Amino acid sequence: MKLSDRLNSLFRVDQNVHKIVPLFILFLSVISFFIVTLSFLSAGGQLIVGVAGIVVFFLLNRRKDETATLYLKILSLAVSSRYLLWRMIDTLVFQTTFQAVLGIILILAEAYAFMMLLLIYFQTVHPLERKPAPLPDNSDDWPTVDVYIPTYNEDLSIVRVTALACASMDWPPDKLNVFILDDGHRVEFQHFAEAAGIGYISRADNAHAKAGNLNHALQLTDGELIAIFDCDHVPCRAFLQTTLGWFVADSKIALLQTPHHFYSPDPFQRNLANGMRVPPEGNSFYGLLQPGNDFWNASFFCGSCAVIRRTALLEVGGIATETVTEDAHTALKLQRRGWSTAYLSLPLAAGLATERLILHIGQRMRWARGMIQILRTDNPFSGPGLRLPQRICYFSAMAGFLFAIPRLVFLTSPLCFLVFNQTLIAASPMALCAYVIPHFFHCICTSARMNGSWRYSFWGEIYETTLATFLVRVTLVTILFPKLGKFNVTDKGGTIKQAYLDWQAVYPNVILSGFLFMGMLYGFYRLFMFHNSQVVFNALWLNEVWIAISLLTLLLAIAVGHESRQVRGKARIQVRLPVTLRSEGGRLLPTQIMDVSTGGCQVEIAESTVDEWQKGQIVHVLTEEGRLKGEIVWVGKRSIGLDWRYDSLRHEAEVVRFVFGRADAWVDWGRYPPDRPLRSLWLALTSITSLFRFEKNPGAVNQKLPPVKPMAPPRSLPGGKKKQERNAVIVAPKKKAATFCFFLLGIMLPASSWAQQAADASPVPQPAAQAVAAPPAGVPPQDGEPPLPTSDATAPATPDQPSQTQGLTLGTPITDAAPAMVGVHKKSWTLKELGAGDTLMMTPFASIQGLSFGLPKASL
Amino acid sequence: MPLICCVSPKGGVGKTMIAANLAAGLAKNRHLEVIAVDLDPQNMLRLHLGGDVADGHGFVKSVGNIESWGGALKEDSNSGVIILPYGQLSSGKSIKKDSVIRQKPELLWKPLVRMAASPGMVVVVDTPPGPSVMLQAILPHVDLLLTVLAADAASAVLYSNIATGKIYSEVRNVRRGYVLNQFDPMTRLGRIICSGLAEKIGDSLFGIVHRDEYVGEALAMQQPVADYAPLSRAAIDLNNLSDRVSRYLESLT
Repeated sequence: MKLSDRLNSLFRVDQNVHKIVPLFILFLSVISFFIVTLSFLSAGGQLIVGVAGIVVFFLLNRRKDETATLYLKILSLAVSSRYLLWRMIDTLVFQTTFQAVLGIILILAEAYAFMMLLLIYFQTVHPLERKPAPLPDNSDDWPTVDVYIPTYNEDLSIVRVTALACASMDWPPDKLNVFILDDGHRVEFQHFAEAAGIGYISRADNAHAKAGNLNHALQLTDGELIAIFDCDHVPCRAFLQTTLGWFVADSKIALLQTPHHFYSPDPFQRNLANGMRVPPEGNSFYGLLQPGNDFWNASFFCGSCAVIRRTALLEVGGIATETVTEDAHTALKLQRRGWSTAYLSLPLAAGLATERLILHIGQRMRWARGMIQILRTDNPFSGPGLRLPQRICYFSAMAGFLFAIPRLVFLTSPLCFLVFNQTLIAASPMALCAYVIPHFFHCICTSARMNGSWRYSFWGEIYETTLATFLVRVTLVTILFPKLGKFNVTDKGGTIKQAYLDWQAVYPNVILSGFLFMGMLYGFYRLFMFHNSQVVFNALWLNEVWIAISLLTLLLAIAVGHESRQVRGKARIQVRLPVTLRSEGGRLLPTQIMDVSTGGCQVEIAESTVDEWQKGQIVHVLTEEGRLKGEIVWVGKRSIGLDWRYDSLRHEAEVVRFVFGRADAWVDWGRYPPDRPLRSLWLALTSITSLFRFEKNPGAVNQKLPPVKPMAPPRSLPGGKKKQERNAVIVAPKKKAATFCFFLLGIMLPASSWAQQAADASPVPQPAAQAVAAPPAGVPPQDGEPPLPTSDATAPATPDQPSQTQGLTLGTPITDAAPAMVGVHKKSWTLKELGAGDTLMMTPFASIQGLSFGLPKASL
Repeated sequence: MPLICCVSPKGGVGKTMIAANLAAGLAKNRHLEVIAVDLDPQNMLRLHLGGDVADGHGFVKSVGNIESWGGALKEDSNSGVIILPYGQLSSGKSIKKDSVIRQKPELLWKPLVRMAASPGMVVVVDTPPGPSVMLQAILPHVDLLLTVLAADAASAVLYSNIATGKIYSEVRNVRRGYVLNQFDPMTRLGRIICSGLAEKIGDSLFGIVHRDEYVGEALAMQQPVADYAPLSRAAIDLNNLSDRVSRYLESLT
């Protein structure tokens, strides 16, 4: 579909937005022209221009609509280009080569920052709020899906949760196949897969890491669509039914990505004092940039929580293997062939965030390397197939990873004057006020408006500074030698017994801040010990301010490496889930779960019932869906702690489903107050306390550090066994028709068919066929129904599901006929149902009102 | 005001418990004057509401003589419900009384309807399981026929029989309500039956009551469940039931 059609028909786009784009460019050039002319004004005149710009901002900012945002962006770009032109025309001094080189480096860094500002403004012109598309009413028309769970060195305890959740997604079981793609060649994985009826694929070699793993499986399975989950991203039950509608509705869509949501805090949230009050680092990408990309048909694959169309993938030769970010590159290749991509901004899966800064750094080093590789080897601006906005969006995504060098330049620039006495910006304080302050003001305030609740001002600087020193080398090496580099795996899940400063993750920043600090001291020495001219004096204190800001940012970046204690192996999810607690003696008490994980939960209890509960008791948590068994591990005044106890894989799957299955489990991911720059600044500044935080067991530096697993272990078998000969292993998934039948018919059939048996041949007014269809609106009262002959009712199943009859007429429905695996069952939801919160079967408790699933009428 | 009748084609489903707790719930939450009438020769209703085990008084002995019924009335000071027990009779005498009612059903239904007619008064009647003379006598005059079904396989059959009009055909559909009792979410069958029946019964389902140990304990303590264990699942279920019933009663007027 053409982009313009998409704009007009698919989405509720204000017609103005589309027309505004050329206007945008025109307006920009006109304004820029004025700015250049204005630069001949006196410094005082320029000051007035700057103030006028700020006044205009406040006037426009009163309007909350998208058009106003667009004008503010134009204004911001105009002010920043005014600044940049002034910098180039008025402030560069080339007295010596050294000075010229430094000055040009700084101006290039600033130009880069301006370019990124422009690109991001462009990307986020109209973040697309794509809604789920309805699936056909008849589930026979639904596509077949293969679910791939690639794993390499992750623990089975992590993978099994994902695998069980994938296997219990709501989709017709004959159309859903789940495969664990194990590059670790681990026998216990194979045994688990066999026990759970899940497919297991392990290949003879490990060529091309994850991409190769996926491509290998691609040859062995045959689903029309392929859903990919990293082994620590646990999907909710509704994932497939919510996402796959678009593949049916639009045959040009090759890829649909959903957000990566993390239910555990990322290192910034965990280690900085105010971290939990700030949106996670990934939110700005998944909440803002990807929907922005989607508007331009340029959202890209992020490696997990996504669905890809097999035919499209085969057309580009499978997952790309040329770079280490195979995901984005694959999307680029698909789009070059004319395929569309889509992004659904609903977190339908959740995973663990990288729990330590060093791992976060390792992950970002890989991303940066991969994205720059693509930039060098398959630049989106060259090559066939893309439309200009797509090229811009892809370029923006890749160029964004070049931030390390400019960031470092900004941090260290004040040293040039303080230490080496090299003037990089020759300007009076007055001129600085006239140009720099408006530039910063508009950048910060317009970005804050654009970012809303997805990213807070000044926190981006912390994120970048944390990584910058590590990425510099990667960036340079990859730009020069793009073919180097291999895939490394990000470790997740684990405990940190003691707080400690992870030197490995902060040492470059510590060294750098040492230099800056010495530079600052030297600056003060110059400031106070010498008799400076007014010009030098001004330059000195301005540079002191600058270096102080740099130092502060660096200290915050170091504070992120001050790892706080993390006691639980399995992160708990804060919830409010009403359940009924059943004591050993069969007493039932309605209550609610306060937090939950796959390990256990905390249940609220009334104080008057405290005596009921004793440590070691086995209790049951009764939910709308089923019952979960737990052992009381502690009893508090107002709550008790349970550890889940499973007897079988089936029970384990029920726990997984209870913890992760709810479709609305993660709707709060963006619920942060909108950014207010001053508040965000305060939150950032006060987070510096984390650097000086000491806990009861102060983590002695360099002492008893939990060993960091090697990030990319050499290809050796775990346990260092003698290298075995490796063969490809393929285990096909087993279908559990009986279980399925149990779930499907559970709703209505048994009652009626037993009734028939018991009531002998007497006609019973329950048409079985109708029961199978189980219309969501509820079967009308049967009182007036004409009776059906019994023979019809005892063979109730639809022809393609013969096993159902069997399960029912056996007359032994209580026996657990199904094998251990949880029922992969079908529950058909139409969009209408999703929209009507109260009929949403899988979310019996929590309200889903925060989510609007509606589509514009035109497309229904 | 209305005449509510708790019935079940089958014994042991908790009819009496439902009747007693419904009466207590209506009296407590709605500040209605509630008379709980026991038509079951088991004479158990009073025990749910603090009655004395040794007290054998009841209305049946003087069934033809309405004026003497007053002597059998007992008010439970705790719940505020006025109880009219059946009385302790030998089975032979019970059958004799039944034959009296069979001859003259108005001896039973007229006083009950008259009691129910006074404003602010609700009469909750507990009946013996299955078909009985007593039930047959009052059936045409019932304002709400609350059928108690256990959440088990047999109830599926019984419900079909009721829905098709094989039993209780004297009562119009709109006057029928259902309660699923002894729902045990621990069993898979319980869940299946419960959700299946709930879907079939639809709006006429007045409530689901869980199988909860607190229920049995409450009877042992001769208290309504809501008094004995107010936080229990069963107490909340029963409370929801009485709310639903009183909403129904409001819709009648």
